[in-house]
Amino acid sequence: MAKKNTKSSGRGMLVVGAVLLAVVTIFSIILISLYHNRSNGTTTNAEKATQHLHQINDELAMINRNVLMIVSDAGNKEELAKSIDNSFANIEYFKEQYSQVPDRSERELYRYEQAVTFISAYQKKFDSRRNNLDALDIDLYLQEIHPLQTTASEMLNATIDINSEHSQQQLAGLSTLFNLIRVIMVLILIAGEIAIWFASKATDKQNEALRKREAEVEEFKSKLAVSRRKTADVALTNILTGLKNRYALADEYDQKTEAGPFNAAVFNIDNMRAFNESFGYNIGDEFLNVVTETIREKVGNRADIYSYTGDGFCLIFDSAETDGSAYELAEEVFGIFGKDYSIGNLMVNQTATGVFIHVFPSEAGNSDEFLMKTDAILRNAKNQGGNRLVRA
Amino acid sequence: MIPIRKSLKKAAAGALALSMMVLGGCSASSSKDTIAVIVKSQGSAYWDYLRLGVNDAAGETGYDIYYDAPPTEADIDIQEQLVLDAIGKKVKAIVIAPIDADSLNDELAQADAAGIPVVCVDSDCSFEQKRAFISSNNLNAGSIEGRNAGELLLKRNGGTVAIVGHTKGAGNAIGRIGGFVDALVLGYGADVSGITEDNFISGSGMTYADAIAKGKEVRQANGYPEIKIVGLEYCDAKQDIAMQNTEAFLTQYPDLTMLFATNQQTTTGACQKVNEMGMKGKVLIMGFDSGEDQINAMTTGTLQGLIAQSPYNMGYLGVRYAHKCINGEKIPSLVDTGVTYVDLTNLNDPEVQLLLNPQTFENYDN
Repeated sequence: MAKKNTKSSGRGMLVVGAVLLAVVTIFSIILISLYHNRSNGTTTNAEKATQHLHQINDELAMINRNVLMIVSDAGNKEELAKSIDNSFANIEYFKEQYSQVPDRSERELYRYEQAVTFISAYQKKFDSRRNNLDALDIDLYLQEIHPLQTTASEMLNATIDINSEHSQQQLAGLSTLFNLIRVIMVLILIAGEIAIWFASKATDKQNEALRKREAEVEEFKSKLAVSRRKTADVALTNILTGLKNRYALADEYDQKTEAGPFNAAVFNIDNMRAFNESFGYNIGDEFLNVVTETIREKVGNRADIYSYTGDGFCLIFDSAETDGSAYELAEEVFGIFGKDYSIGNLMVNQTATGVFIHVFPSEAGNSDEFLMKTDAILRNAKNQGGNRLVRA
Repeated sequence: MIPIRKSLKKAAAGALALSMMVLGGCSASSSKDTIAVIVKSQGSAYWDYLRLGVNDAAGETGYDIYYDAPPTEADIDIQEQLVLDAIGKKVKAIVIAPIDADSLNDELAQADAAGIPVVCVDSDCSFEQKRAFISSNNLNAGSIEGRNAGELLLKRNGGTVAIVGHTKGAGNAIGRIGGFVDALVLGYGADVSGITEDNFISGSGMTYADAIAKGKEVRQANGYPEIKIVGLEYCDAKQDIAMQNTEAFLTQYPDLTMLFATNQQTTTGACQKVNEMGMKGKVLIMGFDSGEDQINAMTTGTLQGLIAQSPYNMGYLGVRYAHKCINGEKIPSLVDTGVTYVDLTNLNDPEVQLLLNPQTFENYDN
């Protein structure tokens, strides 16, 4: 249950981390786009306003130059006056343009209104002499007109400065806001990172737990296999001789036949029942053990040995053995049975009857058929007196 | 996964550090610098208007203002001390309306030595290192006033004129009176023999004798009626003394046609005394500077005309130019903020209202 929780919380953290990263990315893109639009707008408006203010100031300077030329008798007065009329009309046009620029600060507009008021006063002074340009003399110009131009121009310059300062403040404010949001984004990003880190930690724990479980299962499997093998060994072993029994032969016979024809020898001790009855079962058992040990030593790895009944042995020769060498080994094993063995204080021997057979799998498909076949041959040999090795 | 995470972490740490730096830079704004503005006296609407301009410019350029003035225009010593105080306060610039053209030179030299630029407004001083002088041109103002006075006097078929001056020797008084006298003499053939040679002032540098001769010549050439300047007295820019001077003139010349008052206190004093003596409308008053009292006097018929200066613009440009000096920008050494002759015919024009009531000026109707 606890493991399940860890797993789901790890996945949850991953999802949270991923969502946060996605949010940060999308939000950052939107933010950058907004920031650019807004700062571009601010810059464009400030530039437009500045442009129109400069245009007004330039026209005013042009008017003042032309008035000075009229005052100084330095040109066609009527032509100059017409040019002044045009400049005033241009100023009206630029004022209109300026009034359409959005986002002007109150302070800027206040200063601008003062500037245009002085321009208007200038125009009024000029217009009052428009029909009598000779009355526009140097005293009037210096004392009453020129100061208006100076003041209006100063106010326009101040308006430009305020505009510039205001737009810079706006941009700075925008930039501060942008940075603030960016910091928040970074914090969210870090939170996402931490979530992912926790998720990875949780996954590591989970993997560790899984590895432990797998190790436990492996250990259990191994123990089970050992236990099974032990059980199988007991089932497939002749308790008396420790050799593999008939069941083991049955199991392993299929493997032998799969490899093709093979050589086998089957031995059965002659009159084992009479032996037991004469010397007792203990001596009989001891005799079997001694014989078995002797056969094992003789055979080594050259054949598998089975104790398929209490008094019968079956040898299935290794495929590396030729027919001849296998038969020779079978003869040597046959010789073991006829010898004297000292058991306790008795010297005993007991012959056996054997059959050496070249087995074709098609003739004996399983161990039962094989044993039935050899039993028949052994019975026949025993009927003829036993103590012999028959080659079938 | 791990390298990505590592690089993400690095990027995040970098971005965070950068943001902190940017934000840190924004928040570490320094406290405002101060500009000192020292004017001539307290309790005058004229200086209040100048202060409005000062405050507007300070708001636009981002300064604190240390504003002060001696109690009256006679307190030269106090004004000297105020300059020293400003230097002690480590202001970044001093904008000053000197009471006297010469007496502040030592203190202003100390300011200059301390790297504090000096800008004069309203009245000039002889301190050579001053960066700019921003004022009405007093000679022009007197001249405009004189021309308009001449027209009124012609309508009355001539008459006598007495001058209520504010401060003897003050640069602005010399300019205004000189311009006024020149305009009347050269434009309308006025006779100046009513004032003594010692008291005579000419804006164009005419001698007393030349002025008498020139006046006669113009009068005869144009067939103008006789216009005589009968007196000139000063009052140390004090209203009560201006009233005494007015009373003395009206007593001495019961048929006086016109009084020329050369600043706000003298204009207020003259108007008040004329009203007290029940001579409203009988004697014309040409005033100077535009406070509430003056406008009331004009609308009620005591004051016929006045010269409106632009103290607002002086204060405004004074601080604006001080700001430019601090930033090392070039500024013109002399700025004429202009004057406007105001009478009942133009009192309500927007440009006149802008001069008279800068604090209530809002939107000029385009």
